[in-house]
Amino acid sequence: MPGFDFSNYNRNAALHARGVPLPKATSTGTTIVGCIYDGGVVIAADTRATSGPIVADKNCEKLHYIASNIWCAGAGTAADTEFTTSLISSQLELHSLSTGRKPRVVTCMTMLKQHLFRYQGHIGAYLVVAGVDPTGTHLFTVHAHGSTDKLPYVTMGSGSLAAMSVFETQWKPSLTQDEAVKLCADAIESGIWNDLGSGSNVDVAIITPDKTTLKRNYIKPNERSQKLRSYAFAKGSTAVLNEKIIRKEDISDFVSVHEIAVEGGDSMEVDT
Amino acid sequence: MADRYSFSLTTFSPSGKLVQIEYALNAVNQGVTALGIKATNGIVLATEKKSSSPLADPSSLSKISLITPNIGMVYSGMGPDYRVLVDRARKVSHTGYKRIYNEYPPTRILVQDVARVMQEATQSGGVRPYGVSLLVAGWDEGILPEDEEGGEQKEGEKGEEGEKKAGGKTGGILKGGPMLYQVDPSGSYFPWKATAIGKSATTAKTFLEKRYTEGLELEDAVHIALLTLKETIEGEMNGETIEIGIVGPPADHLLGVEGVEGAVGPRFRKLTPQEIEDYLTNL
Amino acid sequence: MSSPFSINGGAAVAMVGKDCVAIACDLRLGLQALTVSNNFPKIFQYGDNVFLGLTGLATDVSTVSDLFRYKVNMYRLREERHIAPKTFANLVSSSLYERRFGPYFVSPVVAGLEPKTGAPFICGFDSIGCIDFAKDFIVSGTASEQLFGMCESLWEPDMVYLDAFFVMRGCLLIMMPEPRCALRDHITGAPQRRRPRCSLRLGRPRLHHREGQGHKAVAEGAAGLEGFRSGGGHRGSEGTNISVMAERAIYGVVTIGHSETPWSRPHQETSHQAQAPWELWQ
Repeated sequence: MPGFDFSNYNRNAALHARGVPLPKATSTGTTIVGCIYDGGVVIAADTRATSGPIVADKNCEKLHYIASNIWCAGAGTAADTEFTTSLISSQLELHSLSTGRKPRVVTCMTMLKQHLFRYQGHIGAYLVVAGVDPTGTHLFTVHAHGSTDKLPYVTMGSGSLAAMSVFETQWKPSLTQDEAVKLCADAIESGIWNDLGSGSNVDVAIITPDKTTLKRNYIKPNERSQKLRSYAFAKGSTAVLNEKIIRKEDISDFVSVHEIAVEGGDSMEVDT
Repeated sequence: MADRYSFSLTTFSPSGKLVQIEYALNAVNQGVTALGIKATNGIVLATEKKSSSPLADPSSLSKISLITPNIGMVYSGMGPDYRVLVDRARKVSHTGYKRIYNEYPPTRILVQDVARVMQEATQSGGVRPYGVSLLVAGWDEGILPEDEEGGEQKEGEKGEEGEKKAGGKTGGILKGGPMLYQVDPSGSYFPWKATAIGKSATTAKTFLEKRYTEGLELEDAVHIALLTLKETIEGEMNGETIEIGIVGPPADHLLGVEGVEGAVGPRFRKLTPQEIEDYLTNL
Repeated sequence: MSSPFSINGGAAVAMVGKDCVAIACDLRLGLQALTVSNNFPKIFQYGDNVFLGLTGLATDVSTVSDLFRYKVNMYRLREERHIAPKTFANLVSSSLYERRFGPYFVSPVVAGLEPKTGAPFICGFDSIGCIDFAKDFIVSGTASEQLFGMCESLWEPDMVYLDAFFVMRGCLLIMMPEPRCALRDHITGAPQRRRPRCSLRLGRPRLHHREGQGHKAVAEGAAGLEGFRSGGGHRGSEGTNISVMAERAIYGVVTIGHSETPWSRPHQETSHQAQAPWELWQ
């Protein structure tokens, strides 16, 4: 990422020094997990995005595309996970185009960790990297400071403990695809119910040597029920002072096409 | 500060010509012929893969390149210069567009970016112009509603049974559809319905003028492309010696993912030697 | 010192309806409790059907709106076309993220209609460019929590044009008691002035202009308040109506639409006495 713009940095730092709080970034409190099985790898995530105590997005996407055979689940600062993964995806696409090979998961993981290490943890992206390439099936975690792990099953985010408890009680070697998907989805659900930073739905991605299958909203345990009544405003809440129905042929008699200066102030800025 | 003393090698002759650019065009005109034909539902790029020795391995050679999933490129002239431009085009489509708008550049924008790179080589110090002409073929999504009068048919795959629309009504940044551009060493670029560059460009263009009709379909265009190459080619024509790239309907089977909302497969792809052989047997 | 997001106050809300979007903001510019201006718009237009709502620190609202005017104008010159809402949203996102380590104190909202399909599009952002794609509504600003509550209870899927308008209006009226968003005369309890309390814009599918059939209307509300613009001429329309409604010099709206849509004759009670907004909620 050659080109962060720091021109507001000094202003904001000066404000901060005078006691102005830093802006609240959307974070994905998040439960994300990954699990290798015989024949591929599964990653899964919840879909809650939070801004402080507020649920900012009830159905956000935390599974990020890197390449068709490599996907990332992201926790931490939402903007950082989004942009870090898309930057690496872009670099990897160019790399794969110039080498004429499919991108490798270790390449992706190395690029991510080097990028994150360079920013010393200030880019708050916590990622689960999973994929299948000609060298096999891989599953990594990458932390914001640049450290990485390689494990058969992983969890991250605020719900990682809830999710890990599921893996530690139910995981076994040599899972089938269905078992792995079930295990990951259960782990995410454990985060949804037991971690306040996680919630809403379960997204799952299954990566095999042939293809990746994204199951968006694989489980929706929090569907909103029908409202008991409608609170819509009654017709007539806004008084109609006059009304005229005009045939479209006669439209030019009634509507002139020009800007009208607004009384008592500037009109809204309109760029035509 | 080496560049303080680096002067432009491309300077005006007293008659107002930039002879370096003309020399670059000479290099192009000695190159292997490449051609492009725009159809209503796609574009074909074709060229001959000529190896200087029978010992060369033709499968390692590639003259038609994918730039973005919907844009491909072929050249005539100097291979090494072309590869530099391919890298630059791919890179600029990401840094100058995809990383900003999260979508790939339309064909004309990419062509302008590549043309800028080539123009800068005619005015900068210490460099020579690129010795290639390019044919850039791409499909733009467009932003106008699809059923507009005079608009392009809905999608490439529907174009097969859909009625043909005559007239130069395909393409364009607003309407969307196929676009074919030629870029020259000077940095100038032109949109074409069909054109050729390289050694036998004149012969090929005369041939194309005769064979080109409005409302051409992609299959016909591939056919005409092979006939045109046949006119100009010296060696044998087969899947190993001919290279063809097409911009056609989205190839969703190349996507590699399932269940991603809004994901569309690449429109540009290169034909396999087997596919080329099949076209040749039906010629 | 208070957060830069709450010094000047202000709120914006965007909503999806059936084939339409609506975006609204208040017009107050404050300095903590002091109201400085009653006419500080926070919604900006960047194309035929692309709107950006910006709440937060007023200086950054101005700077960012100008920055995007520059960027969108450059885009239009380069590409010879208007920017689509989704493209614009990504431009906003990448521009904000560029200043990841020195952000603008703004919470943008984008609302528009996709030019190719006419599909409604809305999204919101945090100050460093993380996009919140929503299918229902987006809120931002100092009253965002109140707006969240209102929208959660009032928003319904497939609201037609005017329903969306009413919901938006209701949301903003509820929002008004929030002191940092309220107008000066509201706080002081002074009689209602003939001034806009909030500005509201609705977009309909931009019905592509065809010669002889297309209409473009830039019209203004009967009361001469906030300008409202809309493009007209529906494909396959039988007849096109214009309904003009105004609520005692508070809102002015001109809509151009389809004679078959249920709101072509929206109100029977033309003699209904207009009420001051807060009276409705007592």
